[in-house]
Amino acid sequence: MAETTLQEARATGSARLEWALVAIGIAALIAAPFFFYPVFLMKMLCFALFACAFNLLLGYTGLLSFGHATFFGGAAYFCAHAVKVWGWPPEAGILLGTAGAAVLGLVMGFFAIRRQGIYFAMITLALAQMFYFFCVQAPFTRGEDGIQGVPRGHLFGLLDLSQPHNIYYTVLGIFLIGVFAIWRIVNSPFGMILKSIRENESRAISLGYSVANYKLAAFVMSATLAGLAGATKALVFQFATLTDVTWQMSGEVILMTLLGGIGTMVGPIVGAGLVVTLQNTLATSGFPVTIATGLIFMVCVLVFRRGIVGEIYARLLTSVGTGKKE
Amino acid sequence: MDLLAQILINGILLGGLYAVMALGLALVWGVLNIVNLAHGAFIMLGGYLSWHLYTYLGIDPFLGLPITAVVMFGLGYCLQRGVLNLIVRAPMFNTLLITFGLEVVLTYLAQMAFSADFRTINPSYAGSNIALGPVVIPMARLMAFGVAVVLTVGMWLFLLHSRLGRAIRATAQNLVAARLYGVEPRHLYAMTFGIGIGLAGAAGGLYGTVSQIDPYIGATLTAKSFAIAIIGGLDNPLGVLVGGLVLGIIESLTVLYIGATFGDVASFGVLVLVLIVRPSGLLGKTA
Repeated sequence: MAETTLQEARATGSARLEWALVAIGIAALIAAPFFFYPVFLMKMLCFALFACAFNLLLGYTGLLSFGHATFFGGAAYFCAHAVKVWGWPPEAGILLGTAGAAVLGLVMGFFAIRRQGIYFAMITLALAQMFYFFCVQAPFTRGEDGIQGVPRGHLFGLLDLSQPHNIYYTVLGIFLIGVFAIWRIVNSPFGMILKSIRENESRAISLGYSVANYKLAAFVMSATLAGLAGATKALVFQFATLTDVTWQMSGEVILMTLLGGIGTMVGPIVGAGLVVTLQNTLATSGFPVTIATGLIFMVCVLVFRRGIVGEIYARLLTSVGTGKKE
Repeated sequence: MDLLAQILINGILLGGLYAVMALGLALVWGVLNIVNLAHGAFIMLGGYLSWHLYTYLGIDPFLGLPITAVVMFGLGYCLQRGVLNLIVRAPMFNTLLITFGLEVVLTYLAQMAFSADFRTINPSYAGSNIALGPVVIPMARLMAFGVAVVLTVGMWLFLLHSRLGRAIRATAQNLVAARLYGVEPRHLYAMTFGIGIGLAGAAGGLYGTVSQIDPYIGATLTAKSFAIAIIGGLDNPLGVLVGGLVLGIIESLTVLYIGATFGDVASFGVLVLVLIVRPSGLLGKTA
């Protein structure tokens, strides 16, 4: 009896600690643009949301997609085109990009969820490559040049997004909404079923869940949120290019998630932050960024599969475990 | 009608080359259970090696093929011994990720070392053709096709009859039993991976004589090899040859009837279609 109360006390203690850390994190993000270059921070936030969305599929449903660049880059194209060519306001552009990514996710997911493991990964890869070739050919993407000079406009006709702080807090808001949505999904009954599919798919089927529908729903949600990140990025950088739809981009988001910790809430954010920082540091040093990312990737898979945050959690769990024995 | 015959010939000649590309991937997949996403990058490296041998040492690309294959074999053997052995029994997820990392590293190392320019190996007979009635057969392509068929059939005979080939097949079927019969898995895995990469290198050399090489061809070639391996099955090189011919013909038809830029899209389309409709392959069983 005494032991359970002790455990409960520990649990509520760690929950309080987690909330405190979240509050500190948000406060740090609010203060950050006064200390760091806002565009760099916004790049981090966009990729962090992208990685979190990807993690919803890989970490919580156990599906490895090699095609998430389609949603990220596709949404960036849709948003950039709507804002620049059609003159839509930024919020409508982001909505269109996100919706477009959802449709792409529905199509890709519809085909991919029919197969598992390596076959799932290869279907997503092949469809993503087809989308890439589509983007190379389609006139509205302007091929190699991409859509450049996208105006940021005024949010809801009021807030001038060309001001660095205005757009920063808009992006931060989108990021927080996106991450909160993922947190809600993961901790809902729906999320529990996703995790059960990850752990044991045949068991979930035998319990009566129509696994295919849940997988498709998770795929579309992940694609939608990845699209939200991509559309936002198009406004931040004011361009959309082929880079965002290549399979290297799909790989980059895998790396971010892997480095931070698959299946943890904070991991992809940490991973994205580290990768973006690394890219920015290396870009000025002359050392080829892509080779560095590839090498980190390999080292991660070889010796460091739980990722940074995953590793910390594992350490904490073992320390709790030994504490119980005392 | 003449045009169709010409397209079919082109497709068959291309398909033989594709078969050699996929041969190594199917072998490594079947035996080591590693889907090597860097396979196309090794083909690309083999192409550059042949190009350098030809351009700087004047070695004919077809005579240089053994050199390319042996060098690539050594590279593959060392990589497997040094790096990939650590994950050979790990879940497929990890092997996908590590070979993806490898592909990125190789691609951008190649870009640094060889620049992003297109390279083509152009021996003196590159422009000569054989006319068969209305159909024209390019000399270099025909030779590449011949080498491809020899390699595929050779691989089939090797797996069927040689001591090492039998050990490889035994390991693919049952690792424990193979070990009981004295197979040393680490050496055997490295040999298999080496052979797979050596074949990729040879395929790259052939590819360089009939097409263009740049550092970024890897991803597309990996996907094509994967599609062929799925169509043909993993256990039989002759199935891979058929798979290569199927893809080669489909691609040539696409180029003729839909447009030249859609050739690659077609191969990805075929990949998706096969995976959805018949993932166990048209001919054989897959792992």
